Amino acid sequence: MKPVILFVYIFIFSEADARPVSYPGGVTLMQMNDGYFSNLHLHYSPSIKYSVGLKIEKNRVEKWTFLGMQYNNLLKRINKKNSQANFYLKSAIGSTHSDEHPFSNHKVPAGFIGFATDWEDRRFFTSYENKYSYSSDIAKYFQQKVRFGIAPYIGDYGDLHTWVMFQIQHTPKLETEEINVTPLLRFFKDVYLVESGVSLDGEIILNAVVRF
Amino acid sequence: MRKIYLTLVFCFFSISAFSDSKNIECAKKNSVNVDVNGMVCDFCARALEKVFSEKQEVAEIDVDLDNGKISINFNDGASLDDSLIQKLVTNSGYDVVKINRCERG
Repeated sequence: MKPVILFVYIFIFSEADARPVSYPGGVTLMQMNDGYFSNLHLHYSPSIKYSVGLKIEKNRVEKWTFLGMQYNNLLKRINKKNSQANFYLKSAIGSTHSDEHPFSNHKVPAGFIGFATDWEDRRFFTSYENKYSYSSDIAKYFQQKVRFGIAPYIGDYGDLHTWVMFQIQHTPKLETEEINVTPLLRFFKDVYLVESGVSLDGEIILNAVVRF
Repeated sequence: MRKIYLTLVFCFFSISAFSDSKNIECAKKNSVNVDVNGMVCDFCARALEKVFSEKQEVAEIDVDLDNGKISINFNDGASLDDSLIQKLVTNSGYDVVKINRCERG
């Protein structure tokens, strides 16, 4: 695959682990690409309490694609002088399409629901999220992952920020390993966040977030 | 007499300390310094910058992530009252701890 096509493909089909709700009026483009899934989530936050947006999730191995509307709700935020914690409920409704055997141009109602929480200060980061996805006879899966991160240096506002992260992902129903462990590097500057890593099984993760 | 003197000295320093919490010296006149909880990353800073920059009264906003403070400099003759500042910060997802009005020259 040519590099340009690969870039466009990754840019279109992905999602990242940044916060699913922005400030009032904020628009966020989140993407994630791992060994199994590619996601795109574009959301708009009318208030700090929730966001609504478009969600595309493509399973490249089982060859199905979910397209729907996603709603993210900030259940609780705890602000401290040097830290912040968040609790989110994420849900989506739409349809999943598959043209892979035994399906032939098969489309079913689909959706998912999940819970996410994170805590961070300027030095340390930790998060947990889970998700149950239902696409009738095409696919059903549960996934959860936890992350730990540390910033090797604390930059000023506007500097390039770097995080060293460690992700453990558990996906019982998929064909790949149930538990994937991935060290990651996250780079963050201005409104751009990019992170990438290679799992112990050799799968590449590439995520990006742009906040407008 | 000595007790009265000590009482007056105590009152003087108490009033001075109280005044310092309301009106402090700032780098620029006609500005406020706001102590904010929850500012831990550039996205937080950018959110507050964007929200306050949309106000016509605001000339400039500086975000100090290290100390959890924002400094809002107003245009000449303009200002935002404390309740509106609190509302803007809260609606952005953060908590106001204290608003310090600067002394006007």
